[in-house]
Amino acid sequence: MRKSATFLIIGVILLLVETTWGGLFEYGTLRFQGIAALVVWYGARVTFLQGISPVLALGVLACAFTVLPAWIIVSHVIVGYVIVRYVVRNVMLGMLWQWMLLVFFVASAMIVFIMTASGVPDFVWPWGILQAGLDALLCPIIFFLLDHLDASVFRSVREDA
Amino acid sequence: MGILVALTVGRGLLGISFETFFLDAAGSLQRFFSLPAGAVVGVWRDYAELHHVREENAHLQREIARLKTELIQYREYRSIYPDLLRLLDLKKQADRPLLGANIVGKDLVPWVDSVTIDRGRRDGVGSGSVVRAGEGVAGQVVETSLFFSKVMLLTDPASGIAALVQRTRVPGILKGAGKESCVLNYVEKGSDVVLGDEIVTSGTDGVFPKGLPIGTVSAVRPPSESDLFMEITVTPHVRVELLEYVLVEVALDSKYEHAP
Repeated sequence: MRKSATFLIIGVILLLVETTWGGLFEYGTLRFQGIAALVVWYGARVTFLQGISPVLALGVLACAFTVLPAWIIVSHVIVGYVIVRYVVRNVMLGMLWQWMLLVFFVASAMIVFIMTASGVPDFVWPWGILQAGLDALLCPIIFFLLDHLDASVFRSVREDA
Repeated sequence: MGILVALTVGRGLLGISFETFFLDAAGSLQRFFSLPAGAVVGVWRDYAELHHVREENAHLQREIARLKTELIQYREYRSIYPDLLRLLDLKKQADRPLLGANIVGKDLVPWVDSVTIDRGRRDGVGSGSVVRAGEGVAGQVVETSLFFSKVMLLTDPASGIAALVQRTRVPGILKGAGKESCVLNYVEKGSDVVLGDEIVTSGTDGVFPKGLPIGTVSAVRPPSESDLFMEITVTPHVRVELLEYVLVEVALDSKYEHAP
């Protein structure tokens, strides 16, 4: 429950950062994005049933930040989550580069889905794949922030208890 | 006693009285003692002044920081002033009520050209309201809440505007083509369109009023034998990447009072 709250709070913060300051670091259609990394981080730490509701909630919240139809936005987050759950159930991931590879794979799938569904599949190459690569490169920072934030939140909650 | 008398008599003979002798002696001693005292007072005064200088320095640094902030604000005002003037002119010339709006956010999806503005249903903005910037059409409102609205910019691939070439009245549909460019579709092969032609809204889509400036033709690619239509690239007058303020059309029958 607390992990889900952290996931949603960080998700909303990431959405706000991407849609307000994201333009400052934009090149072409490349932009700082952390949603794929967030979904991977969260998806690897909960069971499928525990995580599906918060992921759905994040998808619904994300709809407020785009003009794309709601079903596309919600579905693309769920697509990412399902892939993460499948991979972490069947593959052992230990090294950082393996997690980065997973983020690249998940981000690619999410981008392909969202680009195809929104009618711009021709953007997948090179922009979509480059964006997935950027997501993978930046994911250690996101993971580091999430791990530390999560740990500090849990510690303070435990201390309060 | 004898010595004192002798000194008095002797000095009296030399023209030096007893009082002046003691005055000289006392004065010399005072001067001797005043040297270190003066030095101590000087050091103390320097210290006090230094302390004052330190305070003054801190005060001046605060003042410099404040003035720098003010300068940045003035520069910011000066840089946005021409844009605001253009918007004001446009607002005065428009035949429909227009409302100034700030852009508060971009779309979550990088390849979607849409923005969020801080005007909503409360201000009389509705779905389909035309959004303009100083130089021409910027887009249209696609979704509104009470206080905010989502605007699809004319460069978004999903955007479509009924347009025509102002010089020859050749009609077409202006579609967004990503960052900073649009294409004019469905223009018949052989139509009279040349570089630099002005593209304006035709008004036939029922959304954009007729005659609003959109952009200029920046490329005309000759069609192949099999093509039915010309390939025309249009560069919008409005640089959507740099948009900070826009004017949004307000519904005439809005039940809400228009904000200033």
